[in-house]
Amino acid sequence: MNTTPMPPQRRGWPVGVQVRVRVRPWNTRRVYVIGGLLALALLGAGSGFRYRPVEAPGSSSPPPRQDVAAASVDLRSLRAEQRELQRKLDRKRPRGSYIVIDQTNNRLLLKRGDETLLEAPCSSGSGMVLHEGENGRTWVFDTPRGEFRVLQRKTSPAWRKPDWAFVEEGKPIPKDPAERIEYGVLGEYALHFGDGYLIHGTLYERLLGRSVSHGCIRLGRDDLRTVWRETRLGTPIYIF
Amino acid sequence: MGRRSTSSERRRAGLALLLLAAVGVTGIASVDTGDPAAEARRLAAANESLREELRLAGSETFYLLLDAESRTLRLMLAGVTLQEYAVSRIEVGAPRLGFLERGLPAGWAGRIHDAGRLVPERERDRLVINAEEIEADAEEQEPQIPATPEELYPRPYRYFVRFAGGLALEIRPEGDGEWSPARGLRARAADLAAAVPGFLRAAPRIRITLAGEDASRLYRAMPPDTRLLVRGIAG
Repeated sequence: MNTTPMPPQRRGWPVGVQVRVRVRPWNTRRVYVIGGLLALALLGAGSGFRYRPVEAPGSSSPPPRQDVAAASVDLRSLRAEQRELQRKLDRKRPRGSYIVIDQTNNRLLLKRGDETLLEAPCSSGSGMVLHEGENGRTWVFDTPRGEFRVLQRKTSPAWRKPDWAFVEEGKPIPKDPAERIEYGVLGEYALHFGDGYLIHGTLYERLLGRSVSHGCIRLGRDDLRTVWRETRLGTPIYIF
Repeated sequence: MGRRSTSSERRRAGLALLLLAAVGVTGIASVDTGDPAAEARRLAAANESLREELRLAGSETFYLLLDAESRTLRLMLAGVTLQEYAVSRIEVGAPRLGFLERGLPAGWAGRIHDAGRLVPERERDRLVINAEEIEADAEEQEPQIPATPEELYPRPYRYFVRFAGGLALEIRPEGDGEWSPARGLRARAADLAAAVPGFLRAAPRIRITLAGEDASRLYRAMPPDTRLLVRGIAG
């Protein structure tokens, strides 16, 4: 009897023949990697933020935050409350003219109500830091932010030079107060708004629009005249 | 020659004017939708928003007031508008992981959001001078012209004001002029990264579009620690 094994059939799968497939480990890894990448891609495709445009004015429904029963609604009292709240808010706004200073963009606005009377370039604090020396004082030349008022108004103001002005020039700080006084550097007018900060004129009008001052607000001559004319003691100043 | 009007004609004209005024007043008073409950909800929400605004106006911090109805974003302090920007588009974004979208927390739009900080931060480049290095008799040097605000703080394509509770205000310029595929990819990657914490905290995002110059001005001007109140958006 011939016992020579038959060569395996190359074409087709004979019925009853068990097919054994060898799965190599790297194939498993590949499946995981591809699967993982697919999952990441799917996750990535859907992840993020889904934006919905806010509807046009008037068509948006109001938020039903407070469950107001229709029967017990007193529309009149709600309207009266709204008027009162609006009145309170309106009272917060200055009545006369006021000054708004955008210290980063170096713009000064003189306003009355919603009307802008003047928009002018100015110079605000340079942000420079001056160290007096070891164990000495440190000055930071920033313009302060917040709400202020005109506390003092001066024509032809003289500058009483503070200590930093001498330190910055490498000069000794004088004992005689008279040596601190300098004329003509602050322009025609100065408006004090607290802690030694002023709105004043400048000899360096070409630098307006840039942050170069020691914290004061510098203005051009004509703009300073307008600000002087339109402001009083107590005029609010808002600096941001 | 013109005829002078008689007193009866004047009376009639006066009555007509009164009638017109009465019709006008009635018309204004009946702006509501006709559904008293809906009108009450609208008024109650508006009053709540005004109360919050009053609280902000009484504080010493700067705040942003985003009004979806007037399409404005206002930077304010003590009830005074410091800057006003026209908003051409407002979108509200909900965080999504995969295809799972996170619902936004109730009342997120009507309350005050605190401690807003600019991202990317606008860092101030400070010149530091030591007095010991200054020579009193040194020759006067030609002073250098400092940079303009535009040069100092160039605005990124888009930026955020992120608030303490997780809400973020995204600000973009109008038009596609500044868009590039690289910027788009970077923004997509950043959004993907932000989606996970956003999803966990259910933090909404408000995307607003401003004119390019306004977006730049706001980026340069935004004070630190700003608060936000959103009006006219349901949520």
